[in-house]
Amino acid sequence: MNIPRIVAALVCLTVLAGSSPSPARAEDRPSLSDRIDDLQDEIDSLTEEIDDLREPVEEFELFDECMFLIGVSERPGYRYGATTRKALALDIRGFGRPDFQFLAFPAEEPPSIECNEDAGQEDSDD
Amino acid sequence: MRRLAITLVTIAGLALGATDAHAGEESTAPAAARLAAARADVARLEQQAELMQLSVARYDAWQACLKGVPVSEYGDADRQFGFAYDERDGAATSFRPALAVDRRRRPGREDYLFLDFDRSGGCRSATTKPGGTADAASARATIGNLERRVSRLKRTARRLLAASERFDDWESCLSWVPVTEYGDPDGAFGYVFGNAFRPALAIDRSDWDDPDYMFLAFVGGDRPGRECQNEPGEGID
Repeated sequence: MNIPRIVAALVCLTVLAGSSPSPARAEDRPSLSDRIDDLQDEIDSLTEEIDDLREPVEEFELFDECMFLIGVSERPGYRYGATTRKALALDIRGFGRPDFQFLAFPAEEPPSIECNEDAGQEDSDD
Repeated sequence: MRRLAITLVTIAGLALGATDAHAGEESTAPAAARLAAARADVARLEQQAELMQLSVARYDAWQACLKGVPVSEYGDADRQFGFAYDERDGAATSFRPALAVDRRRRPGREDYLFLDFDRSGGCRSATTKPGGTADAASARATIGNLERRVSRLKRTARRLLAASERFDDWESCLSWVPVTEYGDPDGAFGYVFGNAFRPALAIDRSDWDDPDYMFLAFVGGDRPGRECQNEPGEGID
């Protein structure tokens, strides 16, 4: 075996392995610690954003829980002066499909607190 | 010479190991603890965002199914003329206004644009459910995985904000229109209908009783995206 050659090769390997790929790449690549710091900053900012969204999103959740549909149909033949006219009437009886399903809201001051009081509750025998 | 070779091999091994220091750092205690905390935070935010997305999806689903129906009140609110109405109480037939679909006036000139929920076609289908593409929560999520999930959450938050602004724009333009059905559904009294009597809908202006319903409508040409004349949720006087 040619020991001096092996030693020389190992020295070269040591030098190559010890040197960083390039100074620029080392700077570009953040350490794990830096990445966790950045991630935590992003999470903090996101937590704030999502907290801020809670109230507006709850508004349409409330709207969704409180609104309802009323069946209404248009009927011809109501007397209006010397002639007749169509008018709208509720169509919530029977099995026929009404002409319209109008969006309505409970009559309390909207958006009411009471209208969604049953939303999301589980059935209880109490 | 052999000793020198062994020493050099050891040094080379140490030097090679040093380049992997970053990779090994993930398993060090402080980094691992911080990553675990970040994982828990990201999972909590994902859960909150998903619930919000469900609300938004439901809102988008029914909002897309609404279409405006122009409605106007015909007849005099002071009951000097209008639809014939008989209380069948011995008094003479009087007049009452009633609501009807307005096909004559130009769009935006009607009294109210009621909102009709279209139950045909896709509007009967189930609400789209968000989610499904998110990475499965993993107790071993890496920093790269968490970074991707945070980026996705940021996009979700932007979408939620846009949806809430869209809803606010729409809802702040809506009015609550008090409507009552006058007349007897069984035909004992009400609007004159041939030789019979029928109920019909009219704006409820009474001070002493609550209206039957509050219909949601855009009033007097109000439309989302434009300046609305009526205050949010304002009723009709």
